[in-house]
Amino acid sequence: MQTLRTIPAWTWGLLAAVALAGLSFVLGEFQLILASQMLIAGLFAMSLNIIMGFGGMVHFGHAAFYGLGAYTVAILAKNYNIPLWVALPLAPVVSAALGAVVGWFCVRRVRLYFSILTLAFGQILYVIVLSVAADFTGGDNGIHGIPVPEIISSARNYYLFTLLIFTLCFVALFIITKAPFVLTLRAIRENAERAQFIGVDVRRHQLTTFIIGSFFAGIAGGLMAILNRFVGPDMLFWTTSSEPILGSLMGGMFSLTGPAVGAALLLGLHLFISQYTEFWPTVLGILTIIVVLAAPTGLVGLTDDLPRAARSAE
Amino acid sequence: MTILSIEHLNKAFGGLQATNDVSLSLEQGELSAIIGPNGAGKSTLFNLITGYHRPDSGRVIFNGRDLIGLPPHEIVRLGIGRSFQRSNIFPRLTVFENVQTAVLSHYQQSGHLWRGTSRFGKLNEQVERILHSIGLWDKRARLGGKLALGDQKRLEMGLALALEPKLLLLDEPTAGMSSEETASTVALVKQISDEFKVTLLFTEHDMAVVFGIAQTIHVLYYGGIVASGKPQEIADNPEVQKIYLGEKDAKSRFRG
Amino acid sequence: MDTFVIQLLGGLSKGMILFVLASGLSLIFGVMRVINFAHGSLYMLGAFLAATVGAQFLGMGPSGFFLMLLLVPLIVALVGIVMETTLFRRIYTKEHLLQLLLTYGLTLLLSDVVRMIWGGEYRTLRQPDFLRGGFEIVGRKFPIYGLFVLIIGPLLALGLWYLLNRTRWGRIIRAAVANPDMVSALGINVRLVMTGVFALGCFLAGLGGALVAGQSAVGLGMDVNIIVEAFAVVVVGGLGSFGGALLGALLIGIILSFGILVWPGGAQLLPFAAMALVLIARPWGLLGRPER
Repeated sequence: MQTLRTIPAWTWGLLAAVALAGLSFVLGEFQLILASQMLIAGLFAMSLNIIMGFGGMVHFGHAAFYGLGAYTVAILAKNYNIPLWVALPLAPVVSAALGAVVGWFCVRRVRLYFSILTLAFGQILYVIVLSVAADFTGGDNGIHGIPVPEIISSARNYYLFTLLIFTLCFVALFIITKAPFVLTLRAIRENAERAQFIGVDVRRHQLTTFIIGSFFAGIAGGLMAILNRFVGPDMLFWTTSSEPILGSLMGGMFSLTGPAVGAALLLGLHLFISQYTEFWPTVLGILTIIVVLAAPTGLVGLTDDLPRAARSAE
Repeated sequence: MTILSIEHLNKAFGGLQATNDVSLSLEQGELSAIIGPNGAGKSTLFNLITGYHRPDSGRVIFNGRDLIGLPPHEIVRLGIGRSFQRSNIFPRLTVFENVQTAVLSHYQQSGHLWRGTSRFGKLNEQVERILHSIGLWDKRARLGGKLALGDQKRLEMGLALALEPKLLLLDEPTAGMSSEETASTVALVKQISDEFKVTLLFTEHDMAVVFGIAQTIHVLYYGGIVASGKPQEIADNPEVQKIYLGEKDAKSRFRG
Repeated sequence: MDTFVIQLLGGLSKGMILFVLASGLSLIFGVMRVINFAHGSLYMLGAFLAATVGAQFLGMGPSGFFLMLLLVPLIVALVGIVMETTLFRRIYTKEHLLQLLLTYGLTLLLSDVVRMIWGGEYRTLRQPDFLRGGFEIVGRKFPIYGLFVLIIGPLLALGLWYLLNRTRWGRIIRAAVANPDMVSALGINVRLVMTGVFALGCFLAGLGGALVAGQSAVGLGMDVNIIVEAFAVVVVGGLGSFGGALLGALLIGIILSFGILVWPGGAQLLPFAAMALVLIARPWGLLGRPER
């Protein structure tokens, strides 16, 4: 165990990335699409968990920023024929910009009130996409047939592309979680009042967190839009937020990898169980209830967070 | 040189005048105490100084700057640290991380997004120094919330010290402690005063502690200052005697 | 003018359904401090029960209909009691994220159970003869059923008000809202109070569902749509405030009703906008009290 721990984290990361890339030569088309979905779900969950797990802010409107990223890509690429290489990078920018506006209001409220306010704003954005701006968004029908460049149009290449983006995002988030920003954020989660009295501008810190989370949710949404070549208003609906929430809960909210693993496994489980029964929500519901009652910090978090915290102090 | 001067400070909650025309000043480097029966307005006064509450009227001047209206985190940045009556730390952060968070905040690095916390060499040495002086270095890897109460109080003082305050406010540093813990905390307060050259103002209900270490004592009663002076002057003050000795029963009753 | 009256009546009628639902939500929040996502699912369960089981009673005429309005909510309340005693009881002291997630897990489960039993098709409850058709007002037609809901709502509000303010039971509940520790110190079985309040809240959710079944189509997905509207109601009125639930429900109902007229594309947005506005400016709601 001790020898394993002396291997730096980046080595493990590199090994994992290479292994995931290697998978692309083994898996069939269907599995590659599933694997891409898992990566995207993982990224979405990580983006939420920065806010929820590290920041302690339970966000019920996160799907809106995921959906905004998706719609940014779809509208620019389909309606305005803007190349995907321009449209995709704009997705997180749009999500982060709206995240800044919404977050500015939300961080002024704490706990339950924060959660309900995020739900309200999420639903506002949902209705805007569904009906107010239906001329641009296609309303209920969504937008079909998003043009995808030749090079990433095959399932294998798109998987590799998604893996590349995922890895970049993961590295970025990993660095942030090791930096003072997330240490301070955890301190705020633990005791916001005390954080104030060591000179931390709590609201500004929380707002920055909200923007960062929205940014990465935008990337996840943009990637999903390209994968499906389709976007629909349901991507913004509040129940979509619950998938990464459950993934994070099951994977462990106090770690970075936990939520990604949790969300990906959830998706895999969904597919697996769907072969046997059409009542996946029942399984998911029961699973959620069990996790809530049994392991409040999640399965990975239970084993992961504390030893790591202790190590960083040495 | 005067570091803090409070002028005609008033604060009422509903009908209750919690702070009643309080004026006092602290000299640089002084170790002074505020005493008074429970409910006399000691914590309220601290909350007013640190920006947690806003006074109805009056001024708080720190190093020539009026603090009224500033948010708590800005007042902290000007150099006023504070510890709380009930232990107030970050329970699920390690002892090291607790102090580290405060040190990083003091050096305005809280928002740093990419440099790993382990790579702030100078600042981490500072964390180490503080942990040594509060005697928690050996427990640095423990979670703050798992410490004994006395150690949590020490950690809290560590958080306050990390901000290298010019003025440090300690709210009942020995509240809820056993006599051994109290003794070691008193020693720590004295040590901090000497070692860090910081102006200290603390509230305390234990008279032995107050008269043992304070250089100046202010007596607060029903929200107003009754007397200020050296320990001997306070002990000889007839009004104070009336509050503390004449109403001894009342005092012990209210101490809970 | 006539349009105004019709829209107003329609809005109030919609508001009454929202009130029935939201008063239960608010009651449960007031006593247990739990925001129950599954409340919408119980409402949906009530609607499906009414549209299928309840339909059997319609042959009995008006009394059958009223029997249905009593029976369906009772079944829903029973489901609520099972949920409370087996699940909710374990999480009252846990952090609110876990409470929200538990109720969300229940939402998933319940909506799927409804699907399992009744399938995905839309259903309607045939209105009983005495409530069918419309009547003339200001030269326009307004459905009798809408009027019926308009009468039931205030009656129910009155009944609940009486229960909360004029009975021993109500005094205990109000005391539990204000100070749960005190109530247990008085030797009252708080667990029983909690279960009772929860059952009453669920009864109201079921009643809302049963009422709405006679008015519009019953289908999957009505749970997650209504619950956010009910949240809007309790937030606007004030979490845990009974009068607030009534005021909020009427406001949201009217806003929705007139919104559709003025801004068809954006009407749905208005309840959430109202909710966000209240949370920003006055988080304890119009009639609630700020928490310490």
